Amino acid sequence: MSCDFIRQLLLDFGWDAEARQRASQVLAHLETCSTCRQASEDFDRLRRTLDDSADDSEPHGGWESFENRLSTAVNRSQPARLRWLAVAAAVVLASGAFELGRRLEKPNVAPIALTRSAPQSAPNSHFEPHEISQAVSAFDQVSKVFDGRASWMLVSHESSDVGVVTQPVDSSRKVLLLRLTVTHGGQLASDADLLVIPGQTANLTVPMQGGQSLKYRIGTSADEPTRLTVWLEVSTPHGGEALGALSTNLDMDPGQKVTAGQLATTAGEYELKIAFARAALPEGKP
Amino acid sequence: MVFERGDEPSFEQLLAGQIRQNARLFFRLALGILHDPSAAEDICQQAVLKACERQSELRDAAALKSWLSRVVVNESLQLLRRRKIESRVLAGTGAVSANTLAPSAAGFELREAVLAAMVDLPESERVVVMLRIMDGQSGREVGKLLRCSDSEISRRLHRGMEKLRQVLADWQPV
Repeated sequence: MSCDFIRQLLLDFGWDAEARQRASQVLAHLETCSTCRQASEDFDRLRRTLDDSADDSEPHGGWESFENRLSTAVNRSQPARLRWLAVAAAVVLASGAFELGRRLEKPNVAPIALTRSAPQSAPNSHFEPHEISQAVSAFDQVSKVFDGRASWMLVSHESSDVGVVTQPVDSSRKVLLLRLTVTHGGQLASDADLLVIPGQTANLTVPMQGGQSLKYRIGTSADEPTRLTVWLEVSTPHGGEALGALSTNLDMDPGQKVTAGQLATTAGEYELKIAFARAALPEGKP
Repeated sequence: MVFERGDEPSFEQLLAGQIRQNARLFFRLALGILHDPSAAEDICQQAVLKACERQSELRDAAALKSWLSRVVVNESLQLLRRRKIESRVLAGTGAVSANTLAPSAAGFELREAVLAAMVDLPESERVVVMLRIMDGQSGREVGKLLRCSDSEISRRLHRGMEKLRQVLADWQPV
């Protein structure tokens, strides 16, 4: 090392006398203490391991597009989001199958409640033809609101949501319907209907009574529209720790209902059943 | 951003400011864990949406930046864990060949093991390790972000790294 370089380092680090003395002590200690030397090597290795993960990739579409995406998310979550959901809700209302939650009257209230009537009894274990027709019609209408960019729609009596992607979805005029029924200790804990375009992934959260929530990640395939990957996590109130999770792959036939899995948690056992249907979207531009 | 004297910025203005100033930080944190730009973008968006849901608790810029950083790290690690389990399930069903799941190098395996161990760290230590080691921020910067003293940041980094060292002791390349 040249003197110039050493002086540059001294200035860069701004070491005062105390810091220099401490550094000398550390180096002297490392000379004699094999335990700390090993720790130092381990720390270096961990640093390299984690630093190797440095990735210079940029967001698709660049930084400006990414920042716009985040800003749009803010706008969507605020009253503007209520407005588009209100539009969607009005459309859904027209189908006669749903009712608008009271929360839509209040701005800045989350989560958005575009709700389905609470069932008086356990839901049907499969989709009736008229339910498919109503749900598909509602999805088609909601998709039109988003210029064909709706990738999935969740409707439950706890809360509902719509997945919107940046580009119009190539639906090939088909949509998958999943009835997600979760029981806890034999009692109905949650039921939700998900409509998803094959090839899309739905990440959604369904709140349950007592503040717990179910987080789903449901992947579908455009090439094999009967194949599903299902991840379900039961979380403690306020989005805290996961009590447990299950993950499975399914290959389902339309009209079929399966038990996707059981989930043993400290709060008891949960069971997920999935009924499956597939339907064509109405003709015309989505 | 210009505010009238005495005006408190709205939550939306605070959040918009954070996005302008720190979108790259949030993205880098998620990318460092996930190595997947699309997923990193999704995680950042989720964090922003979560912030909107918790806006009553996040009323100043420093708290918001700290909170968003923590959520991005935690959500990224959770997604990584989910993906690993899904991969195992897919491998078990034969839907994905074992070759596509096999780590390509010992370094990759070790990195995965270290990241898995980070999930088990207390959040206060996990975030400090992420920001100091993976994002390369100074102790002072991290202290400012998390509103802790330099010495507290050093303590957390030390505790976290000591726990991660155990991974090196236990880890055997396949």
